[in-house]
Order: sequence, then structure tokens, then C-alpha cells
Amino acid sequence: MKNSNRLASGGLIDRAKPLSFQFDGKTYQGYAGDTLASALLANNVQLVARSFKYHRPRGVLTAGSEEPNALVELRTGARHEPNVRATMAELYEGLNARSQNRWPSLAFDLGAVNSLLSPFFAAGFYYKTFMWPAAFWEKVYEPLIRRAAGLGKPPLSDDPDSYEKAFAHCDLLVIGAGPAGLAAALTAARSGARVILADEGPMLGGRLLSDRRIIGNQSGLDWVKAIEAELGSFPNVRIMPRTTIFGVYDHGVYGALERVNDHVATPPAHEPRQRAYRIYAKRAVLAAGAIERPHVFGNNDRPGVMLGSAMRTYLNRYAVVPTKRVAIFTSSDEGYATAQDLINAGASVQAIIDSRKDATISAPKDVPYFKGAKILRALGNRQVQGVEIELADGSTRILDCDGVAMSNGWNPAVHLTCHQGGRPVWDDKTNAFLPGKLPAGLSVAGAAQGHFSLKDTLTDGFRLGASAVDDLGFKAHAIAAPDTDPESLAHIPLWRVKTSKGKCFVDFQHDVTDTDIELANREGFRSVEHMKRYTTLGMATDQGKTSNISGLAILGEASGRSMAEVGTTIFRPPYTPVALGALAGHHVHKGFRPTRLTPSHQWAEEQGAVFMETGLWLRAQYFPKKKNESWLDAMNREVEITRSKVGVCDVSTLGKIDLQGKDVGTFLDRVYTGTFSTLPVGKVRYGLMMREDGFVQDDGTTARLSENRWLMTTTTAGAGKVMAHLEFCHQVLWPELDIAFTSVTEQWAQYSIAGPHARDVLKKLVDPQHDMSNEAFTYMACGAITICNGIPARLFRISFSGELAYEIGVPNRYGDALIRAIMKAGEEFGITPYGLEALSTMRIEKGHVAGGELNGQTTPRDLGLIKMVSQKKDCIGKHMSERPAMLDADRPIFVGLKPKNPQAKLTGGAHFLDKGAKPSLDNDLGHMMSVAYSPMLKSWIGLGIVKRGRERIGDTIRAVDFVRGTEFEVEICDPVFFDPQGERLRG
Amino acid sequence: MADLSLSPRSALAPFLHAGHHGAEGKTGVKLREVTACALAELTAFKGQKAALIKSTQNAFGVALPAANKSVSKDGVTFISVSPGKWLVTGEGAAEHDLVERLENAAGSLAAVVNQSDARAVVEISGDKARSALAKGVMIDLDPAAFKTGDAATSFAVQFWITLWQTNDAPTYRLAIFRSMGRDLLHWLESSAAEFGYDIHG
Repeated sequence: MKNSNRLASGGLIDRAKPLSFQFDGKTYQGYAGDTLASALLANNVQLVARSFKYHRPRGVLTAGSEEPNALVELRTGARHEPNVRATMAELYEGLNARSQNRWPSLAFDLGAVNSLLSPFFAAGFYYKTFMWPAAFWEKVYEPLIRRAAGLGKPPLSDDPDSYEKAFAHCDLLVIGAGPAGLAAALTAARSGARVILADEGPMLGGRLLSDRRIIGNQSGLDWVKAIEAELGSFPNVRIMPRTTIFGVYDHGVYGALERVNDHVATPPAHEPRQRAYRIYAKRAVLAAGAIERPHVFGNNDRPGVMLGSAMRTYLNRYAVVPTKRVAIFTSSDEGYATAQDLINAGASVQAIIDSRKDATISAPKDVPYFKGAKILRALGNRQVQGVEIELADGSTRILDCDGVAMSNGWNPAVHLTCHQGGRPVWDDKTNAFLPGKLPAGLSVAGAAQGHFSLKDTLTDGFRLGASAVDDLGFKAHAIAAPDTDPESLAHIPLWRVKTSKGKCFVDFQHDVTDTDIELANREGFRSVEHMKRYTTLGMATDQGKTSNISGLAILGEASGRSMAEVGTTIFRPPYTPVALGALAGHHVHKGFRPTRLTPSHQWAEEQGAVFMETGLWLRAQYFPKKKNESWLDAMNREVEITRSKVGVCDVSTLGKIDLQGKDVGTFLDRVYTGTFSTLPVGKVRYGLMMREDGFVQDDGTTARLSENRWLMTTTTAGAGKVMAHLEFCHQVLWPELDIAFTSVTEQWAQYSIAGPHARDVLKKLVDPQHDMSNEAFTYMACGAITICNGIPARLFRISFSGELAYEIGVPNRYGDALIRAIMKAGEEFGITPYGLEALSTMRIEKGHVAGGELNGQTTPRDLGLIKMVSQKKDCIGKHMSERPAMLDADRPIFVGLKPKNPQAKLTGGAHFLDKGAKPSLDNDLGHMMSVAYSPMLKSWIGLGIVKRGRERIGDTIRAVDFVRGTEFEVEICDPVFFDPQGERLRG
Repeated sequence: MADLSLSPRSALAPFLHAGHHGAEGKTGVKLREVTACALAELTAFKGQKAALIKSTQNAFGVALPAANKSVSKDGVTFISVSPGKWLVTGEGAAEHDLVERLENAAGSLAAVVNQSDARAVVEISGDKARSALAKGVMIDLDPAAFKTGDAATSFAVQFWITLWQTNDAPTYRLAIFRSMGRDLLHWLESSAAEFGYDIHG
């Protein structure tokens, strides 16, 4: 039985390289060059899958990417992949595939009882059957359907392989390496243009690999080899096998998927499994060929029923006789070519059943031949065991056969032409939908354009390859298409056999039958778009490549409309399925977005710091002293030490923008609410920045370093946004201002040293010539200094913690060294590093606004900062922030909140209500924005906005949090909880 | 005070592992961090571009390059990064006085900002440098489109980069925000792995 269906010679397989593989646990043998489908057929495995809804036995219908039936699960464990088309899976040693959607086994599938329930599974069954009661949907119906219907199961563990994204550029992209594509690529390549030639298969040649043809004076295969060799000699040509162009996007951008290592068991070290490309092509030639149409007759889905073109592929390319006694069902002269190839391979052609009464082609000698005849149904279950045919005179008879080859004309692969909105146009002459309006820069050659003969295909390819590059200024030399052997393509499509018996499948993958389409029409779903959604015709992984056109024709017939009137649904990307992993490329896990590390990161890691993400940055959250110290204990300790001794915190992540020019003062006056033009050199001022709509967008300090040089700081999260805002203001609003700005966020490593001993620590670092005394370097002073023997530094006496504090900046290369030096210098004063928790607690104790308050919904007035809006000048957002509603006394305003019970753990987002008030929008007084446990007050404290809050200082209200289910009484108080006079700052 | 001396560290020093990596037996790509290199940004003030070009021509002996170009002389490279703005690198003797020389040349014609620590600069060269870069750089680096002396500021993978070609080997340099250098390096290493790559300390 080994390879019982394999021919002794011929084909493009390598008989010197036998490969063993497994299907459903059984071991078989194939050869290098096989696909899983060809290897299974070589071993006479006909039943390979169960269908989606009815669990009907299914075999291999096609030999290409359009395959609707032969979907399997490939590989095992984490590499397990569902819904792999056996016709596209290249065989490799040890390949392990399993059938899917069956239980307990492929041959005996209990789910096949669904077939008996088929009246309930007809079109629209989702919408009709399971409407009531609603609760049943989630609990009963959906799980039931999910188990009964469906395709493969997804893998449950992380994919161990890597995927990549890449970009490629060319003058001409040729899509498909059949005769038309090769011709186009050759012409363009000879002109010197940069050419990318992509084909979804592993070999170039297209149909020439499957049909024995003559081009000029050589075989089709030799012609392919010669062109492939010549293309390979050009440095300006890139050949991309196993690459599907899956989408056409704006401006000549094409999506491509290269299956780099799907044809081996596991990718070699350092190589990805797949690579997704974005190809930028100035021109493209679509030479994607065409897909043969099946016939719609009874039980046309039985294993053994196959497209005629696929049967020739198995015979000629893979040296496999899929079935040995074949009935040819044809509506085209091509059926006769299939018959001849079968006879040449030693198979028996049981009959040619030609639906055309007046076919003129003659059948091979001794083959029973019926004109004007049809197949009514296939017999057999797990494989065809005969067909019942209806002759021209209406009589019927049974024919013995184990396979059926269908030829019903071709559908041009127009899919990519639709991706920019073009709709295919029906052509009565070719009986096919042809490309409509084309994406810019794309032309269509050969069978994809409905030019089916080999000679026409070659002519198209040479011509369009030349005109595409001529367009770009290259000079292509015209190549005349060589003569080809004669072929006969006469064809009258038969959309279905109306007198069929049994189920007639239109869409094999989604189990949509001709009667489903009639039903849709009867129930009013007559637009193709409605019919598609009601019946699910053309959905799922194959997107109806083999089924759409028959479906449209049947809808037309049922509704009395022509093909042109019915029209077609549109094709969207992707052409064939694309794994999400390939689209993600490197962007998985932490690679999803950059992680920015602070200058002190390595040091903090050594200290056992716990980190948290703030924007893209990873910052120290707290520094646990021993392993199990909780965040709260660590934070309390860090705050207490900082407030009683000294602490240090990395503040390098704050945005820093260097502004230079004589108009910087004017510029700052316009973007900040306060006045900056009057700021003396050597001083820092706090600034508030509004959006055009009057809401605060960011805050920070700006220092005047010299007459015409300033340094602005922004919040960590706001850095990029503020830079963009300033660029907009300068480039669009006030281009007349003479200013230049540059981000220097990363130039400086900056640390805040805070606490009563801050100056003592600093003095040990700063070079002795600089006077650090309170009088010489006052609160809000700034200046350039040197530290540690001449390292340039910038010093700012600013404080977020409310303590005596300095921010010291050094060139980033010294950042790691400086944190270590600060810790060493501070050792004798008991210095502690502090993280974001302590930073946040101290600013809440001081009533400073930060992220929770600067949420884009608050105005300066809401934040109690109205005095910071200068009335002597205009600034961005000023007028909008002064709209009457914005100044309404009932609009909630910034206050502090203290729980009656100090241990009551306040929560951000809690809403405020008066005592006894029902929770409703009308009674809502405002909400909590930031909370912290204050080690100084030994109580939880909060900042928030309360309606008429400033007038209600001392009142008790309720903080109600429905999300976390808490409710506490809180007292409204001044937002500055600690050191209200600010005496510590100036010490 | 001696015990509080500060020693510098380059942006990528903690993340670079010198030696051969990736595929065995071949070296398609060479990577190194460019360290002894000063960086500055030069931005012409309003209406001063022509005067600035003249003045830098006098001081450095080269004309400031047009958009998407770079020019080099005596260890100083000017790279056009946006209208009226150049990234300038200084190596060798120029490493130590780049900012000062630029300030002298610019006078009141342009803003000069030291960026020596703001960026990480990575050099990538070798037969397969282009193929490795194509896994993230969206612009066309084929010699037909991008040559020695060409420069671009672009978005690659998930980073803003300034990229310029320094020779036909080919060798490219990429400047990126310092804190993103680690992720840039990680991407370059993943991209170069299949070709085999050397990291030079």
C-alpha cells in the first residue's frame, strides 16, 4: 500500500529524498517536493477532514491556496497550528498532522448526526433558532454550537518561534511567478529596474508546473528554468518564493507574508518562522492566475471529487494519481486535457460527462462520452463510489468511479484589485468577473485578467512588464511571446445541476448549499452583501475562493437577475490567512513598546528597588529595606527619613527642553499662564500650561540660564506632548518669533536631594568655589556649577516635596556615578533613596497637583491656581478658561480631604456626597483625585474637587466608592496638609 | 573629595557583549557603539540660515548640507535633520571642543545645544547590514536610493532615529534617544542574528 497512488517516474518530487510523516497517528511516506495533500493522496488517504457544520467527510478539492476542505492541524505542543491547508503545507521529515473537527475519530465522527439536523442548520439558523430565552444563548446554545461547529483548535501556550517584520522597495513588484509573472519580471529586469518577484509557492512556474506545455521549442518547465536562471543572475532582482502578497494599500504599499520556515519542522537557530513585509512598489503587475470553478451537484463534497486542474497538478507535478477510476464532469474543453493526462498516467477515465450539448471537441479514444449530460449526485460516503448521471435525453444511469474531476471554467484571481475599492466587472465573453477599477500603479496580466491561453498570458506579461518600467523612465526591450502548443478553452459554465439529488455544496468550507442561497433569496436577502452574511457564503479561511461565483449565479437564477445585475461582494485583505504573530513581529511581550531606563536604574536594581512603569519609563516605586517590607512601610520610612534627614530621588525622566533666542520670554508668556519674560537670569519659576480649550495640559518649572537661554521642564508623561505643542505654536501660530528649541531630556541625569540635610550632602559634592549658602543660592535659584572636581552640572533649588531641596543635573554619562556619589556623601546624614510612592505622598501632603489632577478636565480655577493666570497678558487657553460655565461658583474646586477615621483607606475616584444625600448625578459634589497615607499626619489624606469646596472647609461629607465598595466620612480641608507656611523650603 | 569622583559610562556599555553572536561561521553584520564622539544640535535662528552656512563654512571648511544629506571634514560631521537644523558629531580632536567651536562659529546666528549624552550612536556595517536594517527601517537603503553621505530622520521599529551612511561597506550610523538605545540594540541584534554578527567593544 506504500505510495500506492504514486507513479513510478515523473513529477517534480525528489525520489532520492523519501520523507516519513504522520497523519492522525499513522505513519506514511512521501518525498521532498510533496505537499501534505499530495503525499496523503499518494498513500490513497482520501478522507482528510470533517466539514464545519455537518461534519461531512471531506477530501482534497484543490492543489492550491484556495483549498476549502483539507484543513488540518499541523505540528504539536506549542507549535500546534490549526486550519493549515494540506495543499499548501510542504512535506518535511517527521511532519505530524491531525484531522480536526471530529470526535472520536475522522472515520467515525459522532458530529455527523448534525447532518440529520440539517433543517435546523440551514442559512440564518443562528438568527432564527436560538432567539429565546435570551439566557439560553450564553449558557446552552453557544457552547453547544461552538462544540458542534467549527474548525481547528488554537494552541494554548506561547509560540516558541520568532516572527519578523521587514520593509522592501522596488520599481516593479510582480505578484505570481507563473508564465505571465515570469515574462513581466524578465522584461523589467533586463531594463535595469529593481524587481521583486513573489509567489506563494516554493517553486516558480505557476500552472507550468502542473500542465505539460510547450513554449517555443522547449518544454514549459525548461522555459521556466531558463528564465529563473536569468532572473537569478540580475543583482536588481529579488525572487521571493513562499511569499504571498496579501494586501494592496495606499500609494503602492503591498503587504506580503514570507513563510521563511514553515516548510521545515522547526526554524533553524536565529531564523524566524515567518516574516511580514511591507513592500513599497512604484509599479506592480498582478499575475496571480485563476482559480478553477467546481460544479454544484448532489454530494459534490465527497472525498474523491476534485477540480480537474488540481487532478492534473497531482498527476504531473507530484506524480500522484489521486483516484484511479475517474469520471470527468466538464463544461469546458479543459476536461478533455484532464482526461488525456489521466490516461497518460495509466488511470482509467470512466466517462466524460460534458454539460454542453454541442461541444465540438472529441474525446480520447475508447472513453465513454456523454454530451449534454450532468452528474446528479455522487455515491459513496467516505469516498466516491460512483455517480448517478442524467443524460441529454433525461434518462439517468449509474457509473462506477472512485473520483470525479470537475472543470467549469476559471475565476480570475482578481482579489488584490479590489483592495482599494475596485469592484470586479462581469464579462459575458469570458464568463468571469474581471478586474474593475485598479489600484494606482497596478496592472493585471494573464489569467487574472481573463486571458486564459498560455500564449495570451505570455504576451500580457512581456507587454505589461515593459510598460510598467517604461513608465518609470527605464527602457525595456520588447520581447515577443514565443509560440505555444495549441490549447482549447471553449467553455459554457454550468452553475448548478438543478435536478440534483442530495446536498449540493456551493461553499465547502462553510457548508453552504444551493438551497441555502435560495432560502436567503426567499427571505428577502437578495443583495449579495445580505446573502453573504445570511448564509455565510464566502466567509472563513478560504474567503470563498472556489464558491463565490457559483453562489452569485444561483442567487441570480433564483431572483431572475443576470450575473452583471447581481454583482459580487468585494474582496478585502488578506488574500490568504496571515498569522497575527507575523504582523506583530518583534512587538511581543516587553518588545511591545520601548522600555526606557533611568540613569540610576542599575544602581536601583542593586538596591532591590521595586519598579513601576510611568509612560515608557521604568522608575523606582520604592526601595524595600528588607525583602518583605511592604510598599506602605517602605514609603513611610522613605518619607520620614527625607523629612527628618535627607532623601534622594531620580527625576531624570521629567521632560527638559532647551529654548534659545531673543523671543523666548514672549513665547513663554504666551504658552504659560504666568509671566516669564520678567524672570531674572539665575531664577526658576513654576508654570502652568493650558490647551486651547482652557484646560490645563501640563505644568513644570522653567529656568532662565542666561539672557537668551532657558530650560523648561515638563511632566514625565507630558514631555512629548508639550514638545509637539511648542513646535505647533512656533511653526503655525507665531513663526515670526525668533526661537529655537531642542529636547535635552536625555542629556541630563537629574536627582532631587531633599530634606533638612540636603545642603550638607550637596556641599560635599559641589566644587568649593561655589557658594551654596542659603543667602547666595536662594530658593528658586539656578545656575551652572561644577561638582566632583570639574564635572559640569546644573543646580536648581526647587522642591516638590516641600523640603529644602535641590535638583542637580549632570551629563547623563555621569548619572550612574552621581547617584552612587550622592549616597556616599549622604551616608553620614542617614540619607535614603526614595521612590515614586514617597514622592507622591510628599506632594500630596503639600497639596501640589500632579497627574491625578492634571487629567485634561481641570482648569486653573478648578485647581485653585487661578492666581497663576496673569491678567496682564493673554495666553493660550485664557479666554476659553474664562467661559461663564468654567467660572461657575458651583463648579467643583480643589480641596484637601481628611477622613474622620485616620485609618480609613481613601480611594481615588470616590465620589463626594452630602450626608444623607442619595447617590445620584444631581447630588454629586465632585470626586477624589489623589490619595496617600501621610506618615506625617498619621492619617490617610486625599486631594479632590468639591462643589463650593473652598466655602465648605471644615464640613464633613461622604466619600463613596461604588467600584471598591467603600464609604467614609471625610472633612473638607485646605489642600496643604503639611508645613502650610512653607518654612522648610527656605531653610 | 577624591572618593567622590565620577566616572563616565556610555549609553550602551551595560548592554553590549563583545564577541560573535547569532549564526555560527559567518559574520554578515558588525555592530559597535560609537563612544568617543561629541554630539550637538545646531538650529539656525530666524532668517540666519544663509549667514550660518557661510560662517560654518569658514570655521569648519564645509557647507552645511541640504535636506537628507551629511558632510564630514576633519572628524566633524554635519547631518541635516530638519529644516534649519543639523545634528553635528565630533570625533578625534573634535570630540573635545565641538560645542565650543560650534558656539564660536554660530555666534548669534544659531542655537547650539550639547547632545553628547542625549543620544546613543550605534554603527552597523557589513554585507548584511542593509538586510538587518530592513527589518525595521522603512526607508529604502538600496544604493540606488541611499548612498554614502545620505541621511534621514525616520521612525524605525518604534523609535525615532537619525540615520546616515558613512561609507560604501556599507556602514551606517544610527542616533537614538539614549534611553531607547538598549531596545534599539536588542532589535538590531535580533535582526542581525540570522546573518551572524560581531559586537566590537
